Formats: sequence, C-alpha cells, structure tokens
Amino acid sequence: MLSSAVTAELKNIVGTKNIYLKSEETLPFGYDATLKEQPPDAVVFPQSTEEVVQIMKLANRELIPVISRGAGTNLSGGSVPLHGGIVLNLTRMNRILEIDTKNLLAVVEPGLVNNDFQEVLAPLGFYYPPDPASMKVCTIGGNVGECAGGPRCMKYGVTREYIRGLEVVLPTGQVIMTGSKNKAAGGGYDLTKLMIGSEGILGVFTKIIVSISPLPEAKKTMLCSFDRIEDASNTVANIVGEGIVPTTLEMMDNLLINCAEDHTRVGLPRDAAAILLIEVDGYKEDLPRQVETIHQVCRKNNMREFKLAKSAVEVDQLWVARRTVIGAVARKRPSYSLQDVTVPRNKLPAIVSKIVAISEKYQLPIGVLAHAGDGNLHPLVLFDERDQEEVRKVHMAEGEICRAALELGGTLSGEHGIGSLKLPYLTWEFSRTAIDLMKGIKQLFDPHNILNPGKVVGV
Amino acid sequence: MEESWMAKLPAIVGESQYVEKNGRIVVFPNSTEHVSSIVKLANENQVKLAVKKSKESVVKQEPKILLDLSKMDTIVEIDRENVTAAVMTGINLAAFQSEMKKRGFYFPPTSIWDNGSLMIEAIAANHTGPSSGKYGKWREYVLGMEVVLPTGEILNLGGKNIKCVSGLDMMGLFIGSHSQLGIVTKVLLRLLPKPEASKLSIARVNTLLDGVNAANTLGPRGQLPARNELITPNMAWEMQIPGIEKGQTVLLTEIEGFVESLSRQLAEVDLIYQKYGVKSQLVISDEKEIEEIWSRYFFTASLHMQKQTYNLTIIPSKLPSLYDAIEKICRQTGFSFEMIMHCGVVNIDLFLDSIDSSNLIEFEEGLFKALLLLGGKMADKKIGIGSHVLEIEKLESGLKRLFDPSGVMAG
Repeated sequence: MLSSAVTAELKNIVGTKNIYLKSEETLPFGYDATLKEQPPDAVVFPQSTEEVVQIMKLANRELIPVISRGAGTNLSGGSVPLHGGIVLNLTRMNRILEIDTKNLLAVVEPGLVNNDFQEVLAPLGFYYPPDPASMKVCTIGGNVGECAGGPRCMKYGVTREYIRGLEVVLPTGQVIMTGSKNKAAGGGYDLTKLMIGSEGILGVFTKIIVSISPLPEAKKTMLCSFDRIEDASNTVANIVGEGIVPTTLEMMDNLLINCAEDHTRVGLPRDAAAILLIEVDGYKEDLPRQVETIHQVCRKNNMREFKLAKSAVEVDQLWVARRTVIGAVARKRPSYSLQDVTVPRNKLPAIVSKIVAISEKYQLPIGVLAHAGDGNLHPLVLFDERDQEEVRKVHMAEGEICRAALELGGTLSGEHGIGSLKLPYLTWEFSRTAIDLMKGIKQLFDPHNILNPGKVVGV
Repeated sequence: MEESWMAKLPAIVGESQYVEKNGRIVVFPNSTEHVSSIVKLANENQVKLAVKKSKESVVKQEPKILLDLSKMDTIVEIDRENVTAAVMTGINLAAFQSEMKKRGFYFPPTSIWDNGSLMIEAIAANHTGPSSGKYGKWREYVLGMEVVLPTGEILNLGGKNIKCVSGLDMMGLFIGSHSQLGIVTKVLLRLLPKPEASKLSIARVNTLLDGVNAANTLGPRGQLPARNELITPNMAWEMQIPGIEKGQTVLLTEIEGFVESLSRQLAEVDLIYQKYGVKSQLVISDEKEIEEIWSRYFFTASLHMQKQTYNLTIIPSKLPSLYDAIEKICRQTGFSFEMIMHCGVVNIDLFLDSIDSSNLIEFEEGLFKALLLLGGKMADKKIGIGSHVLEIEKLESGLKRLFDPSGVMAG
C-alpha cells in the first residue's frame, strides 16, 4: 500500500488524469500471458523524461518497487508487479521524435507501438526490421527491454542490432545517454547492449535511437507441407546449406495446423505433420532461382505440397495462419503456456521428439510452433487453468522442456526473456559465478533494488 | 628481475613457454586453463597483467605479465549444419577469415587495426572497419564465449543459438572492453554462407566532399555495398589501385550477393555517382584480383598507422561539416592528413602527416570541439558534457570493480 503522501506526490507529478489507484483500474496491470498475477498499488502514465525522473526519485527515496511496462504482451512474467508498487506505464510516451531517412535512423519514445511505427515508415520506403508476432500491439520500449526477435530475424537479426542509443533513467533518477545517433561508435563499455534485453531491471528507457532500413524491393512467400517433422527440419538445414538465408522459416506442427485451419479456413492440409512458411527477399532478379533451389530442397526432403504465393492477397493468406495461431488454440483448451526455448538449428528434430514424449508423459496436448531457421521454438502447452492438478503438470512439463533444450546445447530463452517464470531454471544455464556477476550488475545500477525487483537474476 | 611468483610459471605453462623482455614476462599459454592459472598467480601476487598487442611496440601501462595467446590458435570445430565455428582467440584473424572462405563460409568483421592481429585483440577493441556498414561488428557474430575473469575463474556464456536473451548480456560487455573485464579465450562464431559473386567498382572523385555526398546517397536509395571506401590521393596511390592516376581521390564500391542482380545494382550505384561527378574507371569481378586490392589496402593502412591516428564516427549528413572542420584545423596547425572513410558506417580513419607535436594539443582541441558540436564520436574517447558523462564513468568503474575486484588487469 502506498501512503497518501506518496499518492499525492505521484498525482502531482503526472496529473490526476494520468494515475490509476482504484483496484478495478489497477487489476489489468497485474498480469501478463503467464499464470502469475499481482496487481500494483498504482499505475502512472508519465508523459516526459522529467516525469519519469521524478517518479524514480520518489520511489528510490521511499523504497517503492517500480515496474516499467509497455503493452504487457510479455510472456515470462516480467511485467507482473510481484511485490506491488508502481507500474510505470509508458504507453503515453509514444511519439516519433524524428525520422531521418538520410541518416537511416529514427528517434522514438518507448511507448510507440511497433506496427504504428512501421505504418509511418512504409510510405517513406523504409521499415524497422524487428517484427515480433505481437507487433500490432507491442511497444518499441518493450521490444528493447526484451531484445525481441520475430520471424524476420533469421536474416535481419534481433532488436539489438537496430538500437544505436538510449536515453535511460536510472533507478536513482539520474539520466544517462548510452550510445548515440552514430551507427558504430566506440568509447567505453557497451552499456547500450547491456540495457537491451535487461527486462526493466537496470533502467527505464525514455528515448530510443533506432536504425531503419529501406524496404527490400521484392519478396517471395512459400508454403510447404510434410508428412514427417524430421523432413521439415532437414529442409530448414538444407536451405541454409545452399547459401540462402531466408527472412523467414516458420514451422507449425499438426496440432497447430488444425487449430489455425479451424480459425482461418485458408485451406491448410489438416493431415500434414508439419508445414513450413518460407519467405525470401532481396533484388527481384535474384529471387526466382532461390525459389527454385528451395523447391528442390523441399522435394529432396519428401515434401507433400509446395505453394508459391502469386499475389499480395495470397501472401496474406499464407501469413494469417501463422499470425493468428496462438490465439486460435483457445478453441482447443482455455489456457496455454508458451515457452521460447532455443536450440542449435540441427537439434530441432531432437527437441521436437522430446516435446512429443513430454506431451505423452503428462497427457497434455503440446503444439509446436518454431522460428525454425534460428532454432527458436514455441511449444504451446494447452490446458485449463481452473484445473489445479493440470496446472501443476504444466509447470513440470515446462521445466522438462527447458531441461531438454539445455541438454541439447540450447538456451532457456530466445526472445521472451527470463522474467520470473524461468528464474527457477537460471542455475541450469548459468554457473554460480555468472549469476553472481549479473546480480552484481543489478546492484550497481539499482542499489535500493526498486526497479522490477525479483526478476531476471532474482535480486 | 627475479621474483618468487616467477618460479611458479614453469609449472603452469612449461619451461619454454615464457620469456623475459624489457622487464616484463611474456607468457605463451596453450589453453584456457593456462590463462586461468596465470591470472590466479597474478592475483595472488598483486602483479598487473595484460593481453599482448601485436601492433603496440611500447606498452604504456605497467603490466608485469603480458599474455601472448598466439599459441592458442586452433579452429576447434566447424559446424556445417548450424553454420558456426568454435575458435581459440589466439588465431590470426586474417588467417581465420581466409580459411573460412576456403571452406565456403564468410566471416566479415575486420578493420585496418585488426589486420595482422590475433582475434582476441579484435574482439577486445571492436573496431569499426570496411565491412561494418553492411555486416555489423563483433556482437552480431559472437554466439558464445569462454572467458577467463580477472579472478581467474572461467566463465562460459551462450551457445550455438542465434537468438539468446537468457540473463543479462554479459557477452556485450566483454566485447570492446579491451580485456579489462575478462580475457576471451574461445568464441563460438556465427558464419555466413560465402557470397556467390562480387564486383568491385573503382571510381575517381573530384573532391573528397563529392565522394562523401555520392556514397551517402546510396543507403537511403536502398544500396548497401559490402564495402564502400573513400581514400585520399596519396594513400590511394600507395595502394596501387588500378585505373587510377596520381593525385586522384578514389571511391571503392564492392557489391556482393547473387549473380543475377549484381550488374543492375552496380548500374544503379553508377547512376547515383554520376550526379556527383564520380566516374567509374574499372569494374573488377575476379575474386583473386579483388582480394589483392584489399590486401594492398590493408598493407598501406598499416604503414600509415604508425603516424598520429584518430578513428572518428559521425552521421552521414554531418560529415561534410566535420570534413570542413578537419581541413580548417589542419590549415591552422600546419598538419596535412590522409584518410580512409568507411562510408557504410561513416567512420573515418584519420592519419596526420608532418607532425609538429607542439601543435598537437591545439589540433586535438579543435577536433574534439568539432565532434562535440556535430554529435560525432571518437573511438576510445568519451566526448560529451554534463552530469550524465560522470554518471556513466561511475557505472563503468563500478563494473570494472565488480569484474576485477583486485585490479589485476592493467590499463
């Protein structure tokens, strides 16, 4: 609970229109896609760096936890205020401060929605490559906090590669500028990279300098189905082996094909074991031969059916299943748990067969969606959260999936972060020394431990 | 010089694995474990330690022990399915790159400072170079690493995963921090498939500024050459770039990718260049010939690196102003200069000629001021004003203490 003096001071900083205190108002800010839930004591909507500074100074003085938050689409409990406190909702700091196509950069505020940014850039002939599946709602600030990936990152890389500099409000209320508008600059330790993917435990980003790119002139979208998941996986490895780096190599298994088809009716093959959504982009004369090579690779790996989109409408049809499938699983069961373990690309068949075994062991349906090109999997464990026994099994299955990925040389998280969900498994991936160093970094930046306490490294 | 800790060296690395040189001990470890033991020894005896640099003849700081990793030069594994390589960082970077090409892979990060250096030096410095614009720098390629911390403990981070956001990004801290936070002994690198073909266009420009403007127009028009280098006349002449006469400023543009589009890409580049009076003299498509030009480029640069040098970065639109400023300061201080500009990132290697050191302070003050006003950066130098610079320094020294509590790493 916040004292009335604190709430009065908060109102003073952001104005009465920009604060929620009643429980029915704060409740929606107490959960994310995980089962973790705890409403905050207050939600504030700052509109400037200066307001963020004042809030941080107040919280640092009064030792109140602060959880910065964008759209709350995170998937590992990162934005859940486990210890109450203040949710710093940055969605009203959503301006594009500068678009500079001559220098291929833009300066944006953290609350800007990824897709809104894309829609402003596209008519200018530019885009911002990171494209997390939730791009229609998620914010750039959240993307930086999680180092978001997306289907395109196989070719274009993750958020990290597009962030040139950050204005950061430290937990003490001090403002620093890391990096700069320059694309490549040295000088000192790379604090920008340290901030990226730090899941809101080191500082609050108030301005973000990003790189933008000219839109590629052409792309080709293909969909291929297989009778065996191994064939789909081998196809992925072989395409890369041919010297082609597609922008996208997305895989869906039979369970998810059916969920998606129930929902979209775009004509997906219901009895296929797996489908691959493949996209290549670049110069228009380079693409036909790449498509032909990919087609041959698919044939060599016993493909069933190969479809090349002939129009923009067909491209959208091929994509709609992928973009909506996570929501579509609600038709099967009311709840799902989503992991983002990542394994080396050639370990994809191995992890998939482990997941099938885990699914059978716990009698839980698990659908597999994968950014197959980069070995990043999204096993969707379907269940009913009202059934406590089932929830217990889900957590055990999650743990086993994480363990299996690590045993195959993988990592706990490819793009969703550790948050609080995967914290119990951190010691499986990192040595004591590594965890102590990360805790030390947290303590250095946040001596009073007020920023998103208890997350990522468990301080 | 005979100190008790030195007696322990043979037991760690073997009798012939270290030499005494100018009051320092240069040690040649064979493995990460060797490095770890040496660092522990330095810790126990409060002896300063540093990684030896190939190019630095005079070591400014006071390290007693210099680690020379050149015997740790093994390519541990090349994984064709995951397109990764595991390498000990004592390998010569250029040798590693040409080995990758032979095997059908491509590993672009390098700079004029890294040519001839060991990989560990390149990782520690994270310099900007000719390929940085299109291909990025080290963080984009290092998927995993083995690091010996200043306490001697060995840390393993990352793996063969292209995406990994587990925990805080400590790999990003070890890269570019001059081995102050730890010694990276082994890395897992992401490789690229070798491009199918490439074309190098050699063009002459009337003034450096024309070249700058021409090159800066490529990016926004969707052209991102693999390498795009603007070179001042004297250096260009020394590089013996074909088709170029003495006194001409040169713009090199290399495009690589799939065969089909290369000619059109080059034609589009030419069209942009023509507007600025940049005239293509020659297009080379032979891989060997292209390689020879780059090796002369690196060789010439290495000769100039013995001069007073600066590495500057600026956003493209401010470059003409920075260039004017440099010219003016040089006129005032009586210096002449040569430069190589990596146009893809707008990063400049500046070489000062005819040094009259009494004017150097004046020159540097002028340069800093220009950079500050234009929002530019200088490698390994903090340019900025205000409390946030102090705050960053505080954080950096905090990080240094966290990783190196007994201050064993020199520099």
